[in-house]
Amino acid sequence: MAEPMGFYTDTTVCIGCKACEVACKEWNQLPATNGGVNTLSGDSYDNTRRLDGIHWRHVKFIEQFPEDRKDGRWLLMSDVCKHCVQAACLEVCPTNAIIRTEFDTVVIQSDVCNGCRACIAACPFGVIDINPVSNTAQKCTLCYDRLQSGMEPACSKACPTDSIQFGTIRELRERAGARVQQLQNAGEKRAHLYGADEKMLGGLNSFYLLVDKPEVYGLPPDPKMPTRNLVPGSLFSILGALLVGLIGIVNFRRRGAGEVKEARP
Amino acid sequence: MNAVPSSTWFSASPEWGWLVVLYLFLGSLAGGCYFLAALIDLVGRAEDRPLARLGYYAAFTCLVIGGILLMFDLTRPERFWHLLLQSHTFRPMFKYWSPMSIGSWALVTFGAFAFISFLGVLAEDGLLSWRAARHMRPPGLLARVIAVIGGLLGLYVAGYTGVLLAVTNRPIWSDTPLLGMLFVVSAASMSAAFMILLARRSARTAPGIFALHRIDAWVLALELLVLIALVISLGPVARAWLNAWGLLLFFGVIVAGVLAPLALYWRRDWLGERNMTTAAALVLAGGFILRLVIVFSAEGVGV
Amino acid sequence: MKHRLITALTALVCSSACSSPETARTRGDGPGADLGNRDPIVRMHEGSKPYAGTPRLIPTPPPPLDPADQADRLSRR
Repeated sequence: MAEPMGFYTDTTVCIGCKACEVACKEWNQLPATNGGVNTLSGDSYDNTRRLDGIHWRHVKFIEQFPEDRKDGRWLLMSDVCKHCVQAACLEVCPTNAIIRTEFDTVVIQSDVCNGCRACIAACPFGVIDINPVSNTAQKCTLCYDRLQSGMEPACSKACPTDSIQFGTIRELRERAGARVQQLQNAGEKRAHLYGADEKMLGGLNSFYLLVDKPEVYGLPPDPKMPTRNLVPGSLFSILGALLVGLIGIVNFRRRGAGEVKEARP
Repeated sequence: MNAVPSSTWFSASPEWGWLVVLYLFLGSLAGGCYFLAALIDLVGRAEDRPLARLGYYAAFTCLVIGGILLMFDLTRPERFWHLLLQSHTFRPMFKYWSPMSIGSWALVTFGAFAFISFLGVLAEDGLLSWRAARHMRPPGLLARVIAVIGGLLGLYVAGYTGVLLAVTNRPIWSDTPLLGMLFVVSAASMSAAFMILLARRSARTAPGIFALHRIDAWVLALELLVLIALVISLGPVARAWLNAWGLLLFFGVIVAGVLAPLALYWRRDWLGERNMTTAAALVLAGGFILRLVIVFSAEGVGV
Repeated sequence: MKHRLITALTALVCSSACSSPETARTRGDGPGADLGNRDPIVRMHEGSKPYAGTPRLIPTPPPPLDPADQADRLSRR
């Protein structure tokens, strides 16, 4: 197994050019939305709106402006599959279409997926969706095909500001730690890393440098594995089954004959 | 900004829609009817056998329709077998920690039992002249084994869907561990109601129908408790039901589907002859609306 | 004491039997919940049709673009 590879996305240097979105679409030959007819979201420069089956990269535009518009800032963040070390989608996938590669990344095999959509509901980040052309669930593959031939993913290759950086997780974490330190020293006390350490789902192989709370970026502050509910859910269901069984047995055994007469004169 | 009650708010919808709601309804009926029929076979009296046969017919029919619906809910239905067989290695596909994976196997196994019992009741009703099939009906050891295993599988099929919804990261579904229990209990009440309606129609009324009616009352009371516990266990997430879905849950399920049938049970002479059938119809409708609300109310939630 | 041990062991076995191999996974660890249902060459570009659903103004056949053909060739090298 090769060393774990991933993305480190420094949101503070993202300029919202969407080169990553375009590079991703080009490499993976993903179709245009709505037959190429431009639809505007109408509330932002962000017309991609969300990650789905034909958008595996999405630059989020978060506008933080007060009512009087005197001050303000744009938060820009190129969102992508987090390639979780403990992957919720891979865990629940009932066809094993979702696999873990030698680069520690998570990839959906489009010739195996049958579109049950369990992974879509399981992903805590809302990354996966059905690709309308293949009718299978799809998401970022961290350019598995490029990685296998020793190339870096299309999005990070295209990123003009190095907001998206690709490399071994070890190296990326060092780089990210230094950057957080730099920002903190410069007075940006809110700078922190999201998903770099092991606390969140064992670690995210695509982690972020954020300068606000995760919720502001549309990221869950506390993502969890779906199987957390498996044992309690099953135990309560068994309890329900026992109670129902008990009620059934008692009532089929003790059938009041009087009741029959009473109801049928 | 964006104070959300749960981290589940950030997940995306799988768009499980009407086909899934119908499957949840039919699957619950299939499992519940088989379970009740098996109980009649195991602990009931011989004169209730016609009722049990009705249950087995209903179970098999509902399961077949439900299974087909489920298959067509896949966006690639022709690949349904990938759920059972690994498409590359051709080894059995089984993840004991994934409810959808266990559920697929449970459906197939339960389907086999439902089919065996279906053949048995066909033979018993004289619609199938196959001697061996008669052995699948009680009395007899084989019949008892089939009833025990099939009945348990029936309950499993009725309840696993609730656990499946909980083993996700969707709002409401995964914010409570009680959905599976709710589905099991509701499946029992719906199935008892369904069998009452069927028995009334087919004029094969057996005395056991009153036992079913009584079971319904008990299970409905239990269902009410589970529903209350579920809303409490949701905590701040329950605010996701402060909308039309919550109203539908309250009036369609709690009032019309639980409280009204319970009232009809305690006041047996309110509607005279039609008392029992009205109560049963209400329970059945309530069970459907419950599944509808659970599936669809999670759709619009999120950031 | 013995009873406690048995209870603890049972609880341990039950909880480990019900939790997936994914929940205990660490970075660079094994395949986790992946059962290994894959070929040496993984296909992931089934929906790769850049012109899917795009109305064509001039009715000529589109250029031959096999799905991720280039990626496929590269990964086989």
